[in-house]
Amino acid sequence: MSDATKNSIETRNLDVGYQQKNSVNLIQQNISIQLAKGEFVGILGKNGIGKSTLLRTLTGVQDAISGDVIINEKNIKSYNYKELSTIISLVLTEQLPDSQLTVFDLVALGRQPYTNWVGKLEKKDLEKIRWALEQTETAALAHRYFYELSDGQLQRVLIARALAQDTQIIMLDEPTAHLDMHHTIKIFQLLKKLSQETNKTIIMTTHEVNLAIKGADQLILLTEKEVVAGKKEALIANNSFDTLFSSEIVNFNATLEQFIITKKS
Amino acid sequence: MKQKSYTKQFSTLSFVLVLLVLINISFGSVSIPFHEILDILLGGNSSKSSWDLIILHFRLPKAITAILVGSGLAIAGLLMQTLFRNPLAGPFVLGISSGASLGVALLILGSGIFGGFLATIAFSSWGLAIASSIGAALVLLAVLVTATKVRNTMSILIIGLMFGTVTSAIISVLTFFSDAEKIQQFIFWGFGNLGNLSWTEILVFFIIYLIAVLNLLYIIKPLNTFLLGENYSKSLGINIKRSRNIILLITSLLTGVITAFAGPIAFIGLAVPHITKLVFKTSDHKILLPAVAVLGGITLLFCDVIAQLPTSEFTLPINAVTSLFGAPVVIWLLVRKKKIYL
Repeated sequence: MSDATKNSIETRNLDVGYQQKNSVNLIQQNISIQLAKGEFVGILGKNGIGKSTLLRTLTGVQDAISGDVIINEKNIKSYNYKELSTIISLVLTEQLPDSQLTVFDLVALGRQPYTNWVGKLEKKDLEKIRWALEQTETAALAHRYFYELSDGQLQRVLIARALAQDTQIIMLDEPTAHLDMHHTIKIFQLLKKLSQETNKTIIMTTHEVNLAIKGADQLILLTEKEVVAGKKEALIANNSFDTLFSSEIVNFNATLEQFIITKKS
Repeated sequence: MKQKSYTKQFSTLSFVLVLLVLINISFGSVSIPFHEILDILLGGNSSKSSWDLIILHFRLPKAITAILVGSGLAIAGLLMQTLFRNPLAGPFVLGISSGASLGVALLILGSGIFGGFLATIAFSSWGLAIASSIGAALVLLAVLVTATKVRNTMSILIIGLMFGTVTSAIISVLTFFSDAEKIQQFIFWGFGNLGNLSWTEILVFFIIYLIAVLNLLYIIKPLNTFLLGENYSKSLGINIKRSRNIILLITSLLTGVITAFAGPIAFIGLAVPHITKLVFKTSDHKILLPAVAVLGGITLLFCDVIAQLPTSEFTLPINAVTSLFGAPVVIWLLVRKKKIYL
């Protein structure tokens, strides 16, 4: 296998959930997926189905119940935090604590895995930061405090931070959660462009099913029965989208390649 | 992309610090001409040998103690605010000072109740320091042991508060059974005292202070990532548990040794970090840590000058001055800025 086609992330019979004292709360079972480098991947499913749990397990923040997560052909357990920080970067939904970090400071924190003990930014670090700000069109905001930004701007800054971390994989948890349609589409276009131009594997959970179906290279569907992954065409051919939501409310229309609200008869 | 430089702020603050040391040393119940003070400090002799004694064995040690106490508490306060991502946290949230108080209470009040051996060491100069160190160390140990058992950082905050409550309760019981004289002695300890330290005591103080401060070098980067929350910290390769334990250890050492030698000094640890953040307008700990240290030293030196009640023979308890002067300053700053940051 050449380097370009090598799997970036792979799971083998992965079970995700929460380990409790005497019992296991299994959320999804038997997940086997393969994601190639440079793919833009959407994880879809309704609330509470385990999207975030799966994402947390893929990032190594949470341990798998059983099965393996393979990152760059090596089991995720064989990496330590330090090594993982140069391979996977995150964009989370959680609110940042109030602080006086500027946009520049925030993006610069992405360079931490590479800087010395006080976090001194060398020329290379500054170049990466500048590049990340330019890619996300946030260079003009660099000296603003992050709490002054709109949700859309902040999201792009957080993506810039992940870019500055210079990792092969970026994982995002609902990157468009608080955004309007305009900014949602802008973020999707940005992520798509980044996956194409930088060959980074970009994996996100999202509720924007229609946009994800349109834009993502690969989709992972989490349903109550099973987890299926594949390209849009294959998933449509297998009627996989039909099981994503209860059909009383929304229905998948294969010709439009979209979910539409079920009309009451 | 230019990074901000803070040279101007730091040189101004350093100048103010030196100035305040001189002012602090110049005031006292005995008035000594300023040029004589400079002579003594530069190693010469003044016209009266009693002045040499006052400056070198009383006022200079006190000024140094003020700098160590002020900077140490400010650093500890900053660490707690960042670790718990709570602007109301201060160096005493871990219950360390309550532990120290308990140690001292057991010594002073206990010597009245139990008598004997306790009574003899209660009046030696090291007695109080040792008792409060033991008290602080026991609570520190309890905090560190529980910290390894709980995963949630916020729980440590609450556990610390609980330790504080329990020790206060024990102190109440001891107070209830004690004579008025002993209670007064204990209350006086609680007022805080920057003076009375010999050079040997200051050396011991300084060594422990230095050990704590050197450990800061390990946690500058983790502290900055904590500003993004623990999940981002982890994804940036930070070992959260290790960093957290180093932070707890530094805070405990600093507050423990400070309370042991100077009593529980209020307010500095909470307020100085906020004042610093408002002045420096940054959250970068590479800048904040030295800044709070200098500003902490300045603040306590200044409070001590006020406590001297210049030109009078009386001194106010330092603890009262720090609170009386400090609380309004913080209220004023917050009303102006409307929002506080980590």
